[in-house]
Amino acid sequence: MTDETIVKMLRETCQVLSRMEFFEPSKYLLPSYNALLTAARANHPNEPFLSVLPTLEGGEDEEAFNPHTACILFSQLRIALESLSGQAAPSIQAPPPARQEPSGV
Amino acid sequence: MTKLAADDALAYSAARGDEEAFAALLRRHRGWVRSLLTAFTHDRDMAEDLTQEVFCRAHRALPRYAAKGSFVPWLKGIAVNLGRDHLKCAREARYRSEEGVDVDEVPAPVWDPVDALASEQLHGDLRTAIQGLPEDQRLALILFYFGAMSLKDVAWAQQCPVGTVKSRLHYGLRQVRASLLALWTEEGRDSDDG
Repeated sequence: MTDETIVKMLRETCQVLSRMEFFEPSKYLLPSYNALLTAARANHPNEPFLSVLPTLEGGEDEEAFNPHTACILFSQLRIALESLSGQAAPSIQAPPPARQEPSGV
Repeated sequence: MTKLAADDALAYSAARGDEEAFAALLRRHRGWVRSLLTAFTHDRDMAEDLTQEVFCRAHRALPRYAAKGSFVPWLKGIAVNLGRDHLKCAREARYRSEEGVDVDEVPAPVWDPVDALASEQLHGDLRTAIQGLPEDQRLALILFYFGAMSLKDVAWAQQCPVGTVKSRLHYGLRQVRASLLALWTEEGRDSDDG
């Protein structure tokens, strides 16, 4: 799965989560989160940012995993992917490069 | 008659006491105003209340509206200001609560994207890196990612062009990554030394 696809799925999931009430169940998204994290790690095996992100267990407290916290986890993974190597992310185009100061002046 | 001209004509009539004209403006623009405020509050009931307030303020201010086909930006300005005031009040209420002051007067918490920074789910190092960003970059990043707002909504919230938001996000992400790598490199060196 390409980074672009992963980011698209993360973005769309967050958009849905952001419209959900805090009490609505969202634990069913845990496997999706883990799968997307695994796919991202497979694309970037030596990426420290991805390696520190947690894989979540199914035994998490139901209330602790509400749409808000789920959105934070998905967003965190998206930030990790989109920040990779300072390249333009799929949804954010890089601004025009700043004019370089001549070196040695 | 174009929609812009129709808005101006309705606003002109409403400013002179035509309630039907105001009701027509309300029916026409209520939807996007509510959507915009939902993006700020992440609370449908709160967004509904604020939408009512936006139209109350608009009704009062209509006599001062200079009809030049700019009704939508004018109304958007009122909505954005109200949304920002709401976020500010929610933050202040939370700080008061943390300090143990005026707890009884603190309104119920709403889903504020800024809350993400205090969440246990957020990795501590990422929190530190985001908190180290300049304020405009930090707010853009929080609203865009944790608030799941569109670039256009963030631009409205920050009262700046979409291109500026893109720039803030780009440099913000780059800075976050640089901070994290610097932190982890330093930690790795410390542990090697230890």
